[in-house]
Amino acid sequence: MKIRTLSIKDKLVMVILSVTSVALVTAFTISLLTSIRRLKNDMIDDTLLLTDYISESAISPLLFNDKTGGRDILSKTSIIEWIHQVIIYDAEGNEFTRYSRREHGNTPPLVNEPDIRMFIDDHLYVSKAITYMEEDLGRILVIASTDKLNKKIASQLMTMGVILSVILVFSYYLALRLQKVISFPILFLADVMKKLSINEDYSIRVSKRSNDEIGVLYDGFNQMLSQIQRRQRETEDARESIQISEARLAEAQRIAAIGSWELNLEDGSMVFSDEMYRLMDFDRLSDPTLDVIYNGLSKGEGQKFTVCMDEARKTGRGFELKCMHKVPGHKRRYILLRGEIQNNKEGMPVIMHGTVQDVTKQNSAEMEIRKLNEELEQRVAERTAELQSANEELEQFAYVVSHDLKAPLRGVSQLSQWLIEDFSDKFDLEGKEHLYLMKQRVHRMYKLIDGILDYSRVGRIRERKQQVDCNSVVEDIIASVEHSPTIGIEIENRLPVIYAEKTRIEQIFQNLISNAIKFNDKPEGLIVICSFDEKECWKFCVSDNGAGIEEKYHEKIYQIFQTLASRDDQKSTGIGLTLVKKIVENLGGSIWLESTPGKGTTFYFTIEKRMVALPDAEAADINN
Amino acid sequence: MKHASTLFCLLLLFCCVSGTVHAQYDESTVKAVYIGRFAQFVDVPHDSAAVITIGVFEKQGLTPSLMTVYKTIRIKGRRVAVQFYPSIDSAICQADILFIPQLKPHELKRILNIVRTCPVLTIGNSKGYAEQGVHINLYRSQNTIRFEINQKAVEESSLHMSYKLYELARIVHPTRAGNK
Repeated sequence: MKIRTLSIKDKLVMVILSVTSVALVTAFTISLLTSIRRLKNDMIDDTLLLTDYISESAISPLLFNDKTGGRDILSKTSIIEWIHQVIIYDAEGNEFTRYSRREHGNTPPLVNEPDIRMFIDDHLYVSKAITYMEEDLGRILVIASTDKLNKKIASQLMTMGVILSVILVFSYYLALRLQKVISFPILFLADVMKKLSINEDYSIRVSKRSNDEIGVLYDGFNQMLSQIQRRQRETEDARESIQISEARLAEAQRIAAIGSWELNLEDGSMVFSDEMYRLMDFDRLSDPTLDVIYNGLSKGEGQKFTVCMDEARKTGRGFELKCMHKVPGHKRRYILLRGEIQNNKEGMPVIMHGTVQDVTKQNSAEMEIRKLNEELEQRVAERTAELQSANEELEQFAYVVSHDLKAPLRGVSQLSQWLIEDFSDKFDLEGKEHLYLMKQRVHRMYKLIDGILDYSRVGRIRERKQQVDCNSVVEDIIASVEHSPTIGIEIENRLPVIYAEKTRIEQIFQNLISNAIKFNDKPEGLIVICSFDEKECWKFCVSDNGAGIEEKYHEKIYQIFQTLASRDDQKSTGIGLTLVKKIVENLGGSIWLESTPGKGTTFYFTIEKRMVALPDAEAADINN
Repeated sequence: MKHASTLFCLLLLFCCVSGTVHAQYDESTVKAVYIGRFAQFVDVPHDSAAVITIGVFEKQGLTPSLMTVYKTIRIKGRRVAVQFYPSIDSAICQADILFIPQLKPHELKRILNIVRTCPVLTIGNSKGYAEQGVHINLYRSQNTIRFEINQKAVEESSLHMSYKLYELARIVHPTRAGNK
């Protein structure tokens, strides 16, 4: 039986008994050896004492060569049973006399040996010199039997054996009793663990019975159970969450008609989601394979699918493939195949997962939308053409109307002029004032018609594009426009040269600069024109230190016929900024302003560079 | 001659040291050695002399052997002197050991009378001497020199004799004549 297979109880008993046995056997052995040594020494001492006595007694027989006397002395040792032989040698080494209880065949030659005491076989040999008055008279050899000694040793051995056995039996009893102190809590814990592993009831706890290491073990066991219980709870919660998520996913897949699949690239095994089975009309009891997808594809699309899979494996990039799929017994339908590669830690592709989405409805919807778009585009084109035609007719109408209106206006203006010139003396002061007022209104009407004509020409009448140096344009306007000498007009930086209809550019700057002059109420006016080279466009500014425009009018001023001046003010028709805005927007730009009432206004406008870019040939000429 | 004497002394010394008297030595030498060994077992009260004196009454007999043996050998660590007494008078009390050869009965009686009051160990070499009052008497038995002790005479003297001598000796009892 191997020690490791023993129970802890048996191990403890074995350890206790082993230690006790070793300790006892060692102690008893030492004690026995000491006792044997003591017994031997006692025997040696006894024999030496006897030897001394005999030696003393043998002195006079030796001195007087009285062998009979010597024999008489030796014969007295017969009462000592353990003395087997006593031999007295004279000074010359000859045997003087001897006593033998039992003959010993091989008596060692001890005459010339120093005093000896030795155990040979079952006898003790003691020899010493016999001296008297410093005279060496001879030697005595005493041979004693060790039977008694051996019996004593055997007796002690037996006694110790009995004591040892009794102690060992008692130790075994004690070990059996005491081992429970250690083994019981451990066995109890082992029993609890066994029940735990069977019942998986992690709510149980063990109560600590001691504060030693086993107590610590119990605490640790309880803590471990708490942790397992907590983790089990967490696992159950997580599993529940996963189940909910899976159910939601399955529901989502069902609603969206999306099935998911996962291919293990190492062993080729596949997993289908519930919706995948449904989509593929595949038996759940069968092992899912790629063939389930592949078999529903046409040959060409099947090859595409295979190529996509291979590419994904090689490159690690996903794929998306829309194709027609036919499941036997079902209508053909469109599916969208998606695949993604999942790598392991080493960067090797191990999993390919993807989705199969039934996009038949979407496809139909797309086709429907595409069809509707086409119809819409057709309708828009028709409407646009109609609108364009209407616009053109409208603009033509506006032009014709404006042009035709100007003729009677010129007549009214001419008539009023004739009335002033020819009949001024016929009119009183009030009449003259009415005539003057009528002339002004005619003039304003005239300007309005010009403005409407200009407005209608924008986008309708195309001038030839040419290089327009904005600096020259602005400088010409500054030179031609009437303005008070107290108003300074400056060009802050070099303005760009663009390729555009010059009249439109002039109209922009003309209107903005004229407005800046018209509405400047400062004793020393200042108007600054500047430009910025933005990335995609040119940005211009016309800044003045005039009256400024309240914010609520910032958008209103661009509406046609909207003016901040009074209706009777001939300076403003309310068309200028509307015209500017239309020109700017036709050039792909925008217009806005920043103003502080009482301090001044800055108009910004942009023109897209691509709209005013020089043609390549002319650009080359300029560069050359 | 001188060399021969030295060689003999060495041999004798060996014999004495070995404590054994062998048959190859003559009887006189053995007896002379015995006389010294008797002295080793007898204590004399108030004896502090540096020399042990062995008194003899004749120049022949055992005397030459005594002189030869104790020329070099010491008894109880003390030097030994052999003193010849030509006559039997009180001078013999000065001896420590008195070797009494075979004498006439009245001479023996006279000697014993003199030494009765002084601590002198008397050693005889004649049959019946122990019974007559000599402390120790040498005799031959089975070709071996043995000795006998008159225990009463020893006890009546001021000498103290070791039991070891008694153990080896034949104890004799004094005759009536001896006691007188």
